[in-house]
Amino acid sequence: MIRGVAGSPWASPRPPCGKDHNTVAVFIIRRLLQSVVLVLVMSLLVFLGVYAIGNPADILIAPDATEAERVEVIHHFGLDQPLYAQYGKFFANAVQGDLGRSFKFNESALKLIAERIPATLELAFASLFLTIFLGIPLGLYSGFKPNSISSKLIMGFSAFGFSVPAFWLGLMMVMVFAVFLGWLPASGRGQTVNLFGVPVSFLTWDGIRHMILPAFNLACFKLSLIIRLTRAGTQEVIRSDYVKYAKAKGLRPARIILVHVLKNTLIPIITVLGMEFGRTIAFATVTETIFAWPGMGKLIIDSISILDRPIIVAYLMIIVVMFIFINLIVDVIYSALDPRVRLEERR
Amino acid sequence: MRKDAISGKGALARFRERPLGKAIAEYCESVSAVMAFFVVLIFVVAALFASLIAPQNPYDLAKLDLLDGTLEPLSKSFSGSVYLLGTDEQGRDMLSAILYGLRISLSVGVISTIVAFVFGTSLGLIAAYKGGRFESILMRIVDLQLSFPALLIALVLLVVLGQGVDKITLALVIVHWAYFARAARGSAMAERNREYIEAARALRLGDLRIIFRHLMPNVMPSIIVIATTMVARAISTEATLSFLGIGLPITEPSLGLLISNGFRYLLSGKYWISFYPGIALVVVIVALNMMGDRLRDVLNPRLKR
Amino acid sequence: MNEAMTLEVKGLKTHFFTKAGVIKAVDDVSFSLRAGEVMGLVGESGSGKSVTGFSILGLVDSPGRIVGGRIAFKGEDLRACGEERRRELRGSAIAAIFQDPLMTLNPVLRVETQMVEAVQAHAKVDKAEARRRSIAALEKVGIPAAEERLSAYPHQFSGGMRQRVCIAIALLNNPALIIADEPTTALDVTIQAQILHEMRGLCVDSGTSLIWITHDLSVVAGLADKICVMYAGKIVERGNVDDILDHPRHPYTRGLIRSVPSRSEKGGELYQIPGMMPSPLSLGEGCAFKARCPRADERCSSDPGEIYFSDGHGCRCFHPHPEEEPV
Repeated sequence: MIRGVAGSPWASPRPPCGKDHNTVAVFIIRRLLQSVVLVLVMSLLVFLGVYAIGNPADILIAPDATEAERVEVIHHFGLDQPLYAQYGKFFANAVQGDLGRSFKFNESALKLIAERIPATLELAFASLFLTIFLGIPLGLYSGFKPNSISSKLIMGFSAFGFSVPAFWLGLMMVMVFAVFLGWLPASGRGQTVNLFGVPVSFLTWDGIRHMILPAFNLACFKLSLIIRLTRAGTQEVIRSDYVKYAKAKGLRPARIILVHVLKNTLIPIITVLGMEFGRTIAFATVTETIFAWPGMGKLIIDSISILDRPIIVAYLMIIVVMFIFINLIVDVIYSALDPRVRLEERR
Repeated sequence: MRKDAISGKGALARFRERPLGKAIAEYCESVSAVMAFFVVLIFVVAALFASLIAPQNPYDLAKLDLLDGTLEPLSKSFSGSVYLLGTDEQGRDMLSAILYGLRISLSVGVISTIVAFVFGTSLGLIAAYKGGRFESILMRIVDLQLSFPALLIALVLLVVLGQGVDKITLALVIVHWAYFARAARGSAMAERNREYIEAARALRLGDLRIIFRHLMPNVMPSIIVIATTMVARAISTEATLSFLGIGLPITEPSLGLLISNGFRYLLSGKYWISFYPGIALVVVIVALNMMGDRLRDVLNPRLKR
Repeated sequence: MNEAMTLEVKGLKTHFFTKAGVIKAVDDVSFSLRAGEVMGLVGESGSGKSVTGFSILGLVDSPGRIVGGRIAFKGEDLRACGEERRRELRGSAIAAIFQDPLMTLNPVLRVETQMVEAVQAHAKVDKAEARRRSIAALEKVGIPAAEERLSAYPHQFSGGMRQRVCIAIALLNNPALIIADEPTTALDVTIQAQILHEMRGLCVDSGTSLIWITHDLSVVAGLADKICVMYAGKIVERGNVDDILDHPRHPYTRGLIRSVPSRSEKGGELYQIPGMMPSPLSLGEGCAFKARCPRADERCSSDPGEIYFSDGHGCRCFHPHPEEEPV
């Protein structure tokens, strides 16, 4: 939705969407149908991609197995069936919630991943928290006072965090804060507490200590992006006619900032945050690897290196579904916030 | 201000007035951008001549001496030479390893970007020019691909393709062509309705000719900006993938692999095995990004005209 | 300084300090306004008319600032009183209407929000009372079904309706002075005429002074009591509306009047003032109009002061047209 090449989303008002017969419900149903089709297509692509190339059975068979044992293993896992039959079986199982069994652990792939989702999500939300409550204020400040020294420092850091590969930043963080200064732990999740049956880290100080570095590392790119976007948006909005008009109405500066500037600046930013959240979950693979955080990402990397295909397929499917779902939610939120895009017209 | 003498303008002054000359002159107004350019140049030259410059060939196993393993920077080897940046656990000189690694990182980054550039830009231009179903289908694919994070796509591709320099280059091409296609189509859309295109069409020049001789040069400036940042992105992505262990194989170590290799020694304080390759990587990427930023500032106002 | 004057501007100078040089957007502008008087401030774009309006409101953005002169609102010095006092006056005693309400009304806030906040910024009233006042103001400017319209967003109104909303906002707190900057330029001619008529009525009824800034002389012809013509930051001619329209003295004013399309014969060529307004950075000495003026000579290289012909009719020129000369 945010187009990089076209004009700025803050500049001109979009034309109102005037289809009277479109309600929000129709919009959501339409998108859901599109999403289902997309998921089906992706499942096919993923399955083909992962199973069709190479020999999936290699991981299962000891190198010194006899031919008979080899054949038996292949048959046992159904890997001698034609591909479309394999896919059919996979699909039938998937609809019932069974996404295959890990070759390595011999447990349900879905269960293995599901166990680790909370850890990844917690990290992702922590980084989102940092981005919102650190990034937006810094960006606002930098937009209001663009020529101050602190503002230039902020922009410098954000340029850095934006272009430098995140894994290197993670390594540097480990080096500086864990090895040289010894302030924070370098890896692991620390103490967890069960909240509604789900283990979480943020309720204990030890858990938080373990979360700080990886959360910052994960947030780096997003933080830089949001700071820059917020700053650009703020600068553009405070020059706009409606802010000038708000001043001409004699409104107090606090009200102008909090109501007029903030709302207009934030609308495109929220969309970006939503989109980035999906990417964050994918990018957690790197952070979890560096900090040995026991989440989905680490599992997938390990699985890739040993070619545990059921897990790879299950992971990709889950990620795809998550993505599509997040995109849908973001679109709905955006149309709720920006009345010009709203597809519901009550007369 | 320049003296515009009526006669006798030097060759340099005349060059400055041509559009290319103007662009270069404007680019050079930023000291940091010029420095960035030279940094990139130095790195490229160092990578090209790695085999000549490096004090040691890090992959010649015969020359390695385990007793020289994990030495700190500026320590002496048994044969008397100084290891400027220390050694890794097998006694490899870090400086040499970095130079050879730079070669691989840079070549993967540059080559994949060039191929993605050619492929993506052409498709984008053709889509913009032809319009119709081709354009909408292509853009749907592009949007779909771009809505997924590049890392994820690369991950999947590498699972499917396996390891190797050619495979990772291919993966990077597949990931990045979409950016070029979208940018090319976006810029071309603004141009395709202009009079000179109509004139070329009226003259019944072939479609391909119109696209590549008339449309493309006007779209080039913005694509070049993107290409510069794409090289940085390609290098960064390859490094990340290698770091994760799914990129290049150990036989062709890029900077990312060196960093990954040194990671386990980081926690025991032997930072240099990861740190210096990391510095080299970051410097190249940041310099490329600075060049891209400056190019964008130089070329963009032109676009708005 | 006469306390009976709603607004007195003397020697106002507003300059913009840019990297390319100093732009004297407003250079020694003076005028005054009584209660209920309507003044048309006419000029091409770049003449400084809008900046004059912003200067009175105290809304000149950097790199510009007021460098000289005095602005007195009912005797109070607006430059000396401090930003907080100016903020109090803005939107209550001195109201503003800008050109394009699609840009001046915040697109993501409801009209109700934007009206209620204008009331509550200047009076300690609760939301219900502020709503009542808003509805009353909307009805006064002729918006039907005012109560339902309140919950709408700006883009759901037509252009003319939107501008009426802005006028209603301006009237909310019973201002003594309204500064309207090209309020009808973005509207259809028919709507324009309606709004002009209604504004006039409102001012007469409530004794509100009005400064109507425009580039179109014909617009203010039926509305204003007096007219000031601006060129390159200075007022080059001033007077009551009849004097200006029937007996323009300054060559620029004559040119403006002659170039109004309705004045030329059907099928005849439209008159155009030759040349263009000079760049504000290269104004140089003397009369700024001399490059385009058919009557200019060497005298015009020095600054013409203002000369007065009759009560209130003044002109900045060494070679004004004689009174009897037909336009």
